[in-house]
Amino acid sequence: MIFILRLYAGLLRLYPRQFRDAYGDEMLAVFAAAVEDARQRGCGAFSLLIVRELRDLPFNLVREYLHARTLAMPPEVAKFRRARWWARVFSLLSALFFTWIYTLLFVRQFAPQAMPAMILVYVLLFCTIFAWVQERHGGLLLMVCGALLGLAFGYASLASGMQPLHAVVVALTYPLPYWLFGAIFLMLGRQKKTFALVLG
Amino acid sequence: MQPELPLTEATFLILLSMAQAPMHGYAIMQEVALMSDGRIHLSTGTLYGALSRLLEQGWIERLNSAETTSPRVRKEYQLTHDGRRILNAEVVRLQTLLQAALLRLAKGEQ
Repeated sequence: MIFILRLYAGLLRLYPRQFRDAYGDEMLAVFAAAVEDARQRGCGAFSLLIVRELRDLPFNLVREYLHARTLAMPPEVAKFRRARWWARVFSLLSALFFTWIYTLLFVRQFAPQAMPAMILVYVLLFCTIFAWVQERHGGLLLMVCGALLGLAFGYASLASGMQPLHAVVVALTYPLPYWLFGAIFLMLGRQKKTFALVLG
Repeated sequence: MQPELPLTEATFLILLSMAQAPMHGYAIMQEVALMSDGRIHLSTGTLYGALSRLLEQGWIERLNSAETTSPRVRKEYQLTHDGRRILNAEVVRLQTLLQAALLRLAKGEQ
């Protein structure tokens, strides 16, 4: 019991200082009461309690650190940082998803004419990661490389005997996610300039 | 429609647990588990994260408990006027949804 409480007290130190100072003692007291109660109900209840605490801990830590950061800044800057965070997560997920899909298709139906497009898909994955740090340049690169990807896919479609109209549709639709995130990063880059003084 | 609505299930149950009387942390955890029929078991981190947001929003307030039976820190939380208003609004919203659903189901069975 004492070991578990000491361990929990140690884990509480991982929370941001402000949160820990405000709720740390109470959390320890509540955890102690929960442990005592669970022990009386048996080994299963006790194990469930520990698993639940450990399972939720990483999410709670991330949430409290993000919250602590947003508390210390003006609301509009906090809003910008939230938007940037979502843009980063979704752009990376989207880039990983399309890279995986295109690679899978390329491996299954190997066509040498699609090689430039495949290279560009990987270049675009790097551009997405670059846009995390340099929103404006990364966003611009995403849009330019996205356009090149469209051309490469259009060319590959034509070379594989597709109708020209179909190839144009391919050239215009395949780069859409990259253009979308490129535009979002460009907008974020412009906003970042406005908040440059606050963000440091 | 209030911009704060709908509430998440956990937030709704936490607020609801304080509807009758002020509650301390462990009692809130037990009430939430009881009201959700054992579906929702809050961990201490999740509970205090939620309580911290509710305090910031001014929906609940923290009381220093007068009882000294336990040497441990035991603070109680109670609903504020705003918190009760939000809780009532959520209950009305859920009631409207439930009525609409029951009406549709009844019409479907006819």
